[in-house]
Order: sequence, then C-alpha cells, then structure tokens
Amino acid sequence: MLSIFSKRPCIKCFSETSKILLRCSSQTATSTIERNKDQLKRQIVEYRHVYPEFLPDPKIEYRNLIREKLERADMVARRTQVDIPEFYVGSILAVTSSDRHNPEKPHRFVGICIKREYCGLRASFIVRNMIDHQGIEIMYNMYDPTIHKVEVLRLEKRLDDELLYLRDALPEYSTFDSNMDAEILPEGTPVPINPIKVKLKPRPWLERWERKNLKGIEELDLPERFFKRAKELEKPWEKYDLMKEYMRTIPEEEQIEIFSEVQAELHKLEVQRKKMKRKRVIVKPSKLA
Amino acid sequence: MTKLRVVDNSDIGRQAMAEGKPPKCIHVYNRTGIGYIGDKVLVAIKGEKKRGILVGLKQNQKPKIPKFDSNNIVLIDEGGTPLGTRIHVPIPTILRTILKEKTQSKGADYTKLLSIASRFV
Amino acid sequence: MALALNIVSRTSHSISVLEQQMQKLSLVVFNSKREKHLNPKPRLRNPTWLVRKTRSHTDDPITFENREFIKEIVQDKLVQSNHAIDEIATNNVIWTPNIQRTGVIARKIGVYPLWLKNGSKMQTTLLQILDNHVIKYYTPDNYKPHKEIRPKVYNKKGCILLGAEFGDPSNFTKDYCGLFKESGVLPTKWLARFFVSPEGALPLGATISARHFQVGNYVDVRGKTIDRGFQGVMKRHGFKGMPASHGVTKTHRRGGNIGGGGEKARVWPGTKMPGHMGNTYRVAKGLKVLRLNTKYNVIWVSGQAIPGETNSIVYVYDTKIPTRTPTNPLPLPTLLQQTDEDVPEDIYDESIHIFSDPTIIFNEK
Repeated sequence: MLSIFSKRPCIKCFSETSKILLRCSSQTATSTIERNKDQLKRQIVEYRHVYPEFLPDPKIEYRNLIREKLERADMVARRTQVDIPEFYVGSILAVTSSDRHNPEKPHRFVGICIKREYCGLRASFIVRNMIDHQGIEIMYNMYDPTIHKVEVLRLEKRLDDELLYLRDALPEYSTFDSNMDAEILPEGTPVPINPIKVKLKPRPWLERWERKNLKGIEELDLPERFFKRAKELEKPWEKYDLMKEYMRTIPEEEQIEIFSEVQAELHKLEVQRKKMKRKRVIVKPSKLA
Repeated sequence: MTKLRVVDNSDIGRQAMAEGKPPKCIHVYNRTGIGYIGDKVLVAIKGEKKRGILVGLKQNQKPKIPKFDSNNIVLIDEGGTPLGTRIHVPIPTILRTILKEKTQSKGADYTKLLSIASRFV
Repeated sequence: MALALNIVSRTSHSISVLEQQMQKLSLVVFNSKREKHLNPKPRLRNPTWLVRKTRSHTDDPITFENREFIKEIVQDKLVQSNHAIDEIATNNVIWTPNIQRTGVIARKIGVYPLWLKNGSKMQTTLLQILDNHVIKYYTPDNYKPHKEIRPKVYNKKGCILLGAEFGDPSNFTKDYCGLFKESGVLPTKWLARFFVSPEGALPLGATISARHFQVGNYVDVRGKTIDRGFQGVMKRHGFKGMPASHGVTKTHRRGGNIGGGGEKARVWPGTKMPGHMGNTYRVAKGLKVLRLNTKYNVIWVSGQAIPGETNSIVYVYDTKIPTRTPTNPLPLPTLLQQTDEDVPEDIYDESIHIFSDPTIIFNEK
C-alpha cells in the first residue's frame, strides 16, 4: 500500500535524539527535549501569521490530505525561485512582475496591501496606491510564476484585518511614493502596529462601514439612526461561539503537523533571505557615497 | 447611463469635468451592452454625442490587471484619433493588446491613443 | 331464449347450471387483456456483480482467538493481493485508435491552479488513481448486457470488472465476497465495469497505476453529481424568477407558465419544473491530462467542473471524442511496472510551467 502520511517527521527526529541523549544524562536530556519542543511550538505559532496560506481551508468537505501535501510541495518549490517575504495587511509592498502586454521591461507597482485571501496555491493579495490622483488597485496571485520579486518597503500591521475602507478614505491615506526606499527594521523586533486612524469621505460609500466595527477609522459624522441600526445588527455573541470558532480554524495539533512538514525548507529559505539582507545593507552606503 | 470621467485634455472633456457635468454612457459598441476595458462607448457630453474608449474600470478585474477608482474614458473621433493631446492618468498595459486587436486595416486606428498616454500600469 | 326457458323450468339443478354459465360469460368479458403488448420490452437483468454488498451488523459471539485468526487471514490475503500478478502477458499488439483500453477507478481529491508557460492560469482537478485490481473478465461472447442489443454488432467488446480500495471482509455479504473468489483479491469497496477490446484484456488480479494514462492525452471522467435534493426552478434550471416587488405576490421564485391552452392544452414532456437535483451520473468529456504524480498516483486534468464532490469516486477512461484521440500508441493493455525503472516523481505536459523552474520572462520577438 502507499505510505501516504509521514507523520510528524520533526517530532520523530526529536525522539531519536532523545534516545541518544538519554544515555548521556537523563536530566539534561529531558530538559533539552522540552526546550526544543517549546521552540518548535513557538516557531509554529509565528509561522501561522507569517505563512497563513500554508494552512488549508478548514471546510471539511473540501479537505483531502494528499491534495494538501502536494499543494504545499508546489508552494515550497515556487518559494525557492522567488523570495516572498513576510508581510501583512497594512504593509507597503513593491511587486515586480513580467507583463505579457509590455515585454520590454518588468512592471513594478508600489502600494499598500489592503487584503490577503484564500489559501494554498490560489492565495492572493491586493495592492493599492494613488498615481496621478487616481486610485489604482492590482490583485496578484502569490504563486504566479510571472512575479519576479516582492519587496516589503515598510513592514507593519494596521488595526484591522482588511483595509477595504481606504477606497472611501481621503486620497492621502493611500498615496505612496513609487521611489520609496525600504525601511529596515532592526532584527528581532516585533512587527510594529500602526495606530493611524483614517478619515473617510462623506457618504455615499461602497459599503456601510459603520456596521463593520472598524478600529482604524476616525469617528464617523453620521445621523444617530445609522448607529442605532448598526447596534441592532451587531452580533456580539459570536465571539463566544466555540463551535463556530472550531469550524473556522485549523486545530493546533494539525497546524504543528502541517508546519513541521515544511519547516525545514522554510527555515532554509529564511536563512538565505537573511544573508541576502546583510549583503544589501553593506552595499547601500557605497551607493550613497 | 453611467457617469464617466474624461481623462484626456480635450477642450470639451475638460470643460465638462470642470463644470461638474461628467459625460454619461448612452451606448456600448459590443454585443452584450456591458462595457469592458478597451470597449468603445457613445457618450452624451455637454449636449453633444461623442465616442470614447474605456481606459480604466471600477469593476473587479482579473489578476495583474489594474482596477481603478473611477470609470475613465478617452474621447476619440470617427477615425479613432483622440481629441486631446495627453492622458493625465495611468492606463493599463493590457490596452496595447486589446486596441491592437480591435484595429483593423482600413478601419479606425485606435492605437493612436496609446502614444498620448503619460504612464502605464 | 335459453335464459327464458330456464326460468320457466325453475328446477334447482337448472339454476346451478345457469350460474356456471353466467360465470363463464363474465370471465370472457372482464378478464381479457386489452393492453397486452404484442412486442414486449426485454426484461432488464441485473449484472452478475450487482449483489447485496453490506452485511447488517450483529454482535457475533466470537472468541478473542478467533478474532485474531480472522485478522491474520485478512492480513495474509492483503499481502497476496498486493503482490498480485506483476508480469502482464503482452500479446505484442500495438495500439490503434479502434482498440479500447480499460478505464480506472479514481477519487476526486480537489482543485488547484497550475500556470502555463505563457503565464496564464489554469484550474485543474486532481484525481487520485486508486489501487485498481482486475476481478473478472467477460469475453465478448460471454458478456450479457442487461438490455438486449440489436442482433448485428461489429467490433464487439469484452468487459472488465475492476475493484478498488480494500475493505474489511467481515462488513460485506457472502455473495459479495464470492465475486472475488476467482481473482484471489481481497474484497474491495468499489466496483466498476469497463468495456475493452479483446486485445486490451488484463489477467485477473493485475493492478493499474496512474501511468496507464499519459500527459498530453485526453480523458473522460464519469462521476455522480452532488446531491442537492428537491430544488426549485431557479436553482435547478437557472430560471430568472419574478420581481421582488411591483405587486408580485407569492410568486418570486416560481417558474410561471408551463404550457399553452387551446389545441395543446397539456404539459409537454420534458418541461423544466422543480424536482430532485443532482445525484445522477454525468460525464465530463475531453479533459487534458496535464501532470502525473507517480508517487501518490495522482493525475491533474484540466477543468474544475468534474461531477461529484471532493473525495467522491469517479471513473476515468480514454476519451471517446474522435478529434481528441491520441496519435502516439498507448501502452496496451496497461503500462508494465518494472521495478528497476527510474521513474521521475512528477511528469509534466509541455505547456505547463513547473513550479521549481525560474520565473517566466516574456521576450519580444
């Protein structure tokens, strides 16, 4: 029969090392194993924010373990060719891609990431910017083989999960210089959260933003009836609905299984990226001089 | 009767936008009657009927094709020559392919529009 | 006249005679088969493999030792089934378009995009070819279809019965397990029959892998559509429905008129109406095989509208669309598995961009 699931290779290797260590000294060994396990767990907790598209769709009727495994292998294979760094909704990106309609030079688009959606190979993100006082958005597939480079010019988060309200905000909130330089964060610092509050244009809007419970917008200047209706439609009990939460997410044990499968490859890519970063840092002063 | 935005510097277009009376689409020259990027439209502008090419749409687009915050047009005449001399917003690169396909020999030449564009996205 | 005479005689004997005669008369009148068919339809016979499959569960008083013994037997049989016939007798017939090969049982495991070398995205469906075993072969003369066919048939086909995915034999009925006696294969969960030319016949117990198909060729996929239950006309046939307002009452999602009056004052057969939707077999035809995975026996076929939900069973066979039959000869009856052969894990079609290849750059020509 086919050996379909290689179960937790990393944990297995830990157990092997533990056997060797046990012979030396039992006390130190157990402590090291625990530390290693903790480290892996901590890394995985980070991974689910850095690589959210590696977690499959939790809808049970779409799931198949072999398909997910093959999909993950393809994703890692693509990541070895293109460096897709860690970014979040609210980060400022520069995406370089080759264009069939303009084959002479690759096209570079700078803007703020306003949405990330889907998982697996169909993962995509939307980048928004104002060019010549005209709001422009481009949606990219993350694993599209025509994408050359994804640069993170400013790594930060915003207060909301989606920034679609920037479409109805004043233009200065989504205007970014296309010749912007990358801002380098010192290593080891947590991702900063930008607490900026966006001012919206007066109505009409694309959506009823007062009903969305958004944190990143200034106080809305609306008649009382809008807030009254929003209050009526609120569903405050949903955050206590454990069943809904369970159906919406992948359990932690499964996350560990998924990420321990691709962890070795991802870690290698991360190390490579760090090396490249250091090189770039050294090159920069010479350019300025 | 969609309200459109004229993005070239033709006199009539500039005046219409400045007065706050943007042109309205009264016909789309295709079979479906739904305008997509690069389609020719008939617009009512300042009491006149003019033709224009859609060069940017608000509707959701396929990956890598830009989506704009407004529905933009460039006014053209019968022969496909633009009325203005400059387009002051970016236009999508896919127009190069679409307009080349739509231009037939002896017909209107729409590719003149591309030469007055200031920037492509 | 006879009746009148009998009444006149008024004897008990004559009355009984009369009753008998009346009874005969009534039989003649009411028992005639007015709608007797002169040309009766053929009787539909179930195929031989269509027997009751699952057994009702009872708590059998089996001892622990016996239970272990049964497990051992099943394990032995499993090993036997897996090491079934490796060498397939080739009759050195080269495939031609009029030779039909066997199909396979597969499982639809999901949909994800692949990119072509020209940069465009393509949705593909992943089909996992299960461990197919040949359970029976009916020669062209031997196979009796469930419906009488027309007397003259040229190029008559035989029939192969395939089984896939081993199940627990104790869950199946005795009749069902009896089907597998001849081939020596452990009873399988799924059965399917495929018509084959006599040249494409396989020995009993032989296995078929994903490399039965080749990239670049086309296949048909047959599956059972998602069961949606009793549905209205809008969902089932895509009707428009009626307006939500403007005085419309209680007819927002109804079909409207279903027939005219006058001459044809009836509902025509085949009128689209509400009813049960889905749970019927449909065939998606002419799908291209874009990629093969030899490790997990998975094939990628073009398109995302393959009937059935994820993890449902589908049947895959060479396409019957005449314009898409392959030009190069196919492996007949199936590809021979050679142990020393070095097979790549993934086989791609020419048009597909491989994920580990460098980024696509468009060069102006």
